[in-house]
Amino acid sequence: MTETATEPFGTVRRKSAASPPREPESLPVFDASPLVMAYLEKRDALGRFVRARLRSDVDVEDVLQELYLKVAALPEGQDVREPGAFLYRLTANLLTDRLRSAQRSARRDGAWRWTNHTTGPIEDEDEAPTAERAVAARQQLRRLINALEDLSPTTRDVFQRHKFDGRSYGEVASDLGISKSSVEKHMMRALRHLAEVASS
Amino acid sequence: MIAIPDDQDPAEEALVWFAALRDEDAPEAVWLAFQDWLEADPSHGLAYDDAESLWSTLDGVGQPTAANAPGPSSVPLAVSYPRSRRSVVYPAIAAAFAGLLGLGLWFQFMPMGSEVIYTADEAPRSVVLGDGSHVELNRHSTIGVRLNGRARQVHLKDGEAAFDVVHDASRPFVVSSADQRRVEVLGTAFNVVSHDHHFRVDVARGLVAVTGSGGFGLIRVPAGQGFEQVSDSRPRLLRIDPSHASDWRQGVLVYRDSDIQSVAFDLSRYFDKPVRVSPSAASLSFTGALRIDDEATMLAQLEGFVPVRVQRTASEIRLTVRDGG
Repeated sequence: MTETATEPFGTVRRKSAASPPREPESLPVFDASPLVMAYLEKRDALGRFVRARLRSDVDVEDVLQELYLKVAALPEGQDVREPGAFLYRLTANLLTDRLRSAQRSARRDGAWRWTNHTTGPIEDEDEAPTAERAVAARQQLRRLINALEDLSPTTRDVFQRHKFDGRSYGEVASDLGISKSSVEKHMMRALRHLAEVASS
Repeated sequence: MIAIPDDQDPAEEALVWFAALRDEDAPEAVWLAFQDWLEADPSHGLAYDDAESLWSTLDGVGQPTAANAPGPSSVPLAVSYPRSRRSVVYPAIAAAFAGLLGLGLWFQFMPMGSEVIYTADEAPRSVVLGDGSHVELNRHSTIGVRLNGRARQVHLKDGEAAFDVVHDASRPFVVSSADQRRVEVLGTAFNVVSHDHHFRVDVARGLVAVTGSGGFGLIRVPAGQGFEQVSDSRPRLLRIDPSHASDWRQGVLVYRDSDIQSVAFDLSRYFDKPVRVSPSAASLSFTGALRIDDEATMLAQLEGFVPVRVQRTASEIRLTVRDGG
């Protein structure tokens, strides 16, 4: 016996009811924008996504808070056709930003210690290895840039427009008069080659 | 759609996913399938991190200044996430709250030794302590803080606060409340309510040790659990959803199949008199979200979707079951 209130804002259940508790389909709030409502509805699912990406519970809550603030800051009436996909993309972008700033502080601190299993005092690490690594990283970047030259002209063009000019797949497709799925194939080809060069 | 053969290596699969998800029009179903793939094997996430790192290694390339200046130092291809980035994230969140949501914000730095009082009245308040720990004070809440070289002490005089504590093994962080209850912290995030003989701790992350009143000694409460005690009665341990431990910070109270009694307790915190549940309504449980607002508005929200009638007297607000509800 589950009773549902007539208003769409919540549901009520008698504790004595024999039916098992149901997960609510949504947790709507008064006056919230459709995206905020989508956020509240999908918060747990997005949390699982963040957890899967970070492979840890640490910081999941931070990312969700950050995401909420991003969503709440969007101008009212912004037309998002697919709120779910939009929220996942926003979340993925936040996680990418975190990875980037982790890389930046790693560079700033010269702190490769995260990836090394250093148990001794960190003072033991002198400047030389860090400097060597810096040189190696610069060489790596140079190799990747050179690797772009190995790509076919169209693949290179697609990659550069998307990566360096910030054009979306749809925009690149219409720029070059090709289909969006071709754009994705060219991107895949470019990434595969770059990954090969990076790991060689 | 995306079809990934079974026999590929994670690195190749990660690139396929990466290329697919760069498409702004990728629908939610693709994201969910991606999540399934991530969860299927730990090597998948690592491979995807490598793809992301490869991508961001090339950030700034192609811009006029970047070709000959790729950065002062190293560009790692696989970087693990640092364990805590809170010090970066929280000021940003607090600032955004202040700017976007119109909440009060004060950054305070503590003198050593003497007690400093922080009070939040009609709006929540965010406080950064001298050790870098963050406290978000809910409305109508007061804390007193003492920091010195050996200890960090917060006295929750009344109300509710969410803590995010910087780990420092040499300086224990202790939250005490009226009735001599104590929460001892080992570097973690948790929410404490102390009001009208009702005391509750919800642990979102890490581990805390709670000393209840009435001789209920040290109880360890891990993430995902709550501790609740009314007066000196036997404490209850509750399973909680860590992601909802302090929803009030987002201006909402979220409930999943909660007793009407706990809803009433929460509401009491926001009003100047207690909200009591009459026996006729005690069997109701509620799922939904209430926006935090003034008394009339919050009670109207409650009446809007729970079959209760609200009766105000001089000393209390009483919830009785509504006919036909």
